[in-house]
Amino acid sequence: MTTRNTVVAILCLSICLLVSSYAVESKQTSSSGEVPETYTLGRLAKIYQPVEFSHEAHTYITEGCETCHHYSQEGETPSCNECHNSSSAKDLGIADLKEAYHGNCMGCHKKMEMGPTGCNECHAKQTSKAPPVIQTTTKKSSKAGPETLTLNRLEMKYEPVVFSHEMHTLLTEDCAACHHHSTAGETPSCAECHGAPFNPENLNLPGLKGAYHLQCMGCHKEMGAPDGCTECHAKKDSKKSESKEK
Amino acid sequence: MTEYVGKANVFQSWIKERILLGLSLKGYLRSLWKPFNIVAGIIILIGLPFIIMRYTQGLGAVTHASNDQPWSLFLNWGLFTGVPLAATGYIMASAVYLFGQKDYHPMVRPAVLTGFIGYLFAVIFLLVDLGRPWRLPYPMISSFGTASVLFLVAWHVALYLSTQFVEFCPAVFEWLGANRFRRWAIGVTVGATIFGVILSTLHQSALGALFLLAPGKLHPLWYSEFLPLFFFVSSIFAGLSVIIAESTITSRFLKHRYSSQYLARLPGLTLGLGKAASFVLFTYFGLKIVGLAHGYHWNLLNTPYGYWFLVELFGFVLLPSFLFAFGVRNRSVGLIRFTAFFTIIGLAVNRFNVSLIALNWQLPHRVFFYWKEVIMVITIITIEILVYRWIVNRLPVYREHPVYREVDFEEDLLTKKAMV
Amino acid sequence: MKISRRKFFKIAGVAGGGSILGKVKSALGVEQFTGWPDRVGVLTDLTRCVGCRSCEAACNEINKLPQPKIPFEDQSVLEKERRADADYYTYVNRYPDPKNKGQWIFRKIQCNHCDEPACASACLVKALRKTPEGPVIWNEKVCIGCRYCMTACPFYVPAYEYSNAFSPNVVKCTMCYDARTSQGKVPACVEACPMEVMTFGKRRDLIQAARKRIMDHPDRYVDHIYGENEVGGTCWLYISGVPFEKLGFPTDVGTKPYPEFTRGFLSMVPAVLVVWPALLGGFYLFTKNRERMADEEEEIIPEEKEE
Repeated sequence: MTTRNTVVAILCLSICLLVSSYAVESKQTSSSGEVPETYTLGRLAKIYQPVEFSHEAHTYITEGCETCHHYSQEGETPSCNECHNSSSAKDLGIADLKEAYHGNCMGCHKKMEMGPTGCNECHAKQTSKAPPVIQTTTKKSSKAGPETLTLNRLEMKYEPVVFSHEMHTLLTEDCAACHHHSTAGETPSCAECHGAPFNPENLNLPGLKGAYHLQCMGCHKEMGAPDGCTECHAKKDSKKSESKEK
Repeated sequence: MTEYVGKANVFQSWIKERILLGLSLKGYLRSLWKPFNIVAGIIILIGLPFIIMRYTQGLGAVTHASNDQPWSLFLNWGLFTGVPLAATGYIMASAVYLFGQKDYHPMVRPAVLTGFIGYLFAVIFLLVDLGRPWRLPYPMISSFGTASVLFLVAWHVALYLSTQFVEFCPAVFEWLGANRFRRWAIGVTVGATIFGVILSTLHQSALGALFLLAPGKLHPLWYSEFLPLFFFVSSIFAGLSVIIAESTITSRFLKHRYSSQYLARLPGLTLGLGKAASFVLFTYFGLKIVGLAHGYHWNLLNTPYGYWFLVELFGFVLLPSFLFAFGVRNRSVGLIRFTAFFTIIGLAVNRFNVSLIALNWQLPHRVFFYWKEVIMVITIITIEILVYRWIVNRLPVYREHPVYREVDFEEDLLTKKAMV
Repeated sequence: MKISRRKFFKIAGVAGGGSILGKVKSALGVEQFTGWPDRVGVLTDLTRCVGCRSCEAACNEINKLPQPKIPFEDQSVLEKERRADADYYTYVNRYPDPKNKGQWIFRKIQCNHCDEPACASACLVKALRKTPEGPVIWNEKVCIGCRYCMTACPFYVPAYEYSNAFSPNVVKCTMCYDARTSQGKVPACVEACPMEVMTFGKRRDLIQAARKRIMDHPDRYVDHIYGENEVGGTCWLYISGVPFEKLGFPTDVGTKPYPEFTRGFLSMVPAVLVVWPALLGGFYLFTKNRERMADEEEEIIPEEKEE
């Protein structure tokens, strides 16, 4: 047998294995053993609508299977679960399945600047009016601003807030959606205009804390994103007695 | 008969005569074993623990006073109902000494005593209800909130209590046999009477003015700019009714303390008081109508609270005024007496309406009646009655003191022979 | 008309003393509130509140109030409409949003620090007073516990420690006077709010800011600042996106400052103290005169009879 045939045979076998191990999730296994076009991943069916993963689209845009099925032995395309399952992942010192999925998929999406990187773009909430499951159009990143911001001012009481600036640039059409009231072409940081609150010269200008929350939560409320306190500020176990704000 | 009488003996005999009514201690205590005293004792035994509980566990344990309704049934009886019912003193004293109604002279002392005891126990109600009762004198000595109507009430109740005491002093000094003091006390009677009328006018109306600060909370049918005037006028017929009621009860149960002349004249005097009460009730009715017109809430009469208001106005104001008039016309002392009791109930209804029922009328979940408060009220009233009876059994209240009958300075006040 | 000298002095003394008492009362008493122009206030924007209760937590901490049974992070407590209580100075209630079904609007409730407080005028020992800085505060040293302030307050603000037998306190928001506002600093709840629902500053500046905010977003706000004129003006102001009566605000309190309601009666006091002694003294003398004339006639008639 040629190497190519071997590879094809192993691919078919792997796909069968993959299909059989995800029998619960998948709805579209082909009886002939071909690679299915889409996978329906419904493990979080309780909270989110199932993720429709277009395997077909991904085979087109990748050069080889190992782009996704990495670190596999030559010619093999093991399912993700084979190595990143809960028991062997620890022994191997590698990520568990959820981290593997997200790390591999989102990592590539971000690197290629293609494909959804926001949570809701793949996981639509069961009852929400969130955007469609897979965005068919990819947004171009403006490449402006940091990828993430770690806001740690309340470190006495709360874990730091990791703000994904990158995700938000993809979600919004224009910088001015958040960096409002700024001159065209400029995107000042929030702190440049919003300093200490209750300035008698301009009482209607919120301070930095108020500006963050009013801007963020206002949009989140409309879009169905996290709008509770602890969803961004995870509480630290040992709470200090004094408040250390500002 | 030895000339030497030891001091101790003198004191002992004084106690025996004045306090123990001439009986030995054993005999006196045995004489207390009567049905009325037993019932009173039981009431006090039941009620006193609750009063003590207020001082150990706070007001919340014995009242249903809340943040929305801080003045509950207990204080509303003690202060807002108890004070107008004690308005007897100034009415009788002014009628006799200022307006020359000499016939009613025997009624002055009982009325003044009723007033004094009434105000004294209003203060006792306050001492139970106030959060920090030892600070009761603060408005007088420490910090003056002169923009407050309650400040006025506090001062006037304190001053009026003293005035009533001074007016009652002649009886006390006759009992003690203190001649000089008695002459002084009688001398200041007219001044004290005038002062008492001034104070009464102000604080009886001030009790109504307290609720001027609650225009949103008090139902519009009861809330009026005339509230002070309503409270003052109603205190007049309340006082008259209490005098009639009190004389009815005491002439029956304490008959042995009455002088025969007083007993004989009492029915006629009662008729006269009934006539006065009728006039005042009619006047009050007219004032209430004026208040209604001024408030211009006629439409509210067609609501449940409106019906209750009409019941209070027609059933407890207009009806007694007719009954009094009817009783006077037909010379029926029994009807006058019944109406007096009825009017007292009517006054209590009005006061409870203003301070409890129609106040906060818009709030849901209201509690008016709490059995512990009712028990405490009954207990304190029982103690009041016992104190009143104790005094009447010893002091010349319903009769003239035999020693001073000839030397009657009080009568002389009204004639030119007085050279005091 | 014969009257003994002693009697005359007694009556005059009472009348004079009474009138002096009256004058003293009017000098110390009902005064005009001229207002302190630099007094501070708090503007509360009810379109921003999300009911997180951080304000309640901050107030609890700075005033060392008892720990509540249900922690401040728990929003289930909002399911019931709360009223003032002795365990807290401020509380948040929620009301159904008439514009968006299923949504809630949250409202923070506390003492409104009125410019002419009903409670301060009601207090007979001046335990409650309006400070020049703006807040209305309570003095524990003189309070006797009569609870008239609670009857007088149109907003049902003061709470009382009924479970305390000997030192029950009147409990209400102090605008953090001792620790903060007496030194020009920001009250704890205002500082803690993540959404900057509350803005702190001079009252006259806040009114301007509120007007501007309403003008800039006419579709977002109802054109009314609650507390600007209510009960003669309060230092705690509110703006809202829905009519105030939908949020449980008492809208029938009027614009007349509450102390005005008793001013008329209190003004009458010196008048009574002056007129009554004269009037009643006059009655007495008239009566006595009548008696004397009747007695004189009695003496004359028998004499005539003798003749």
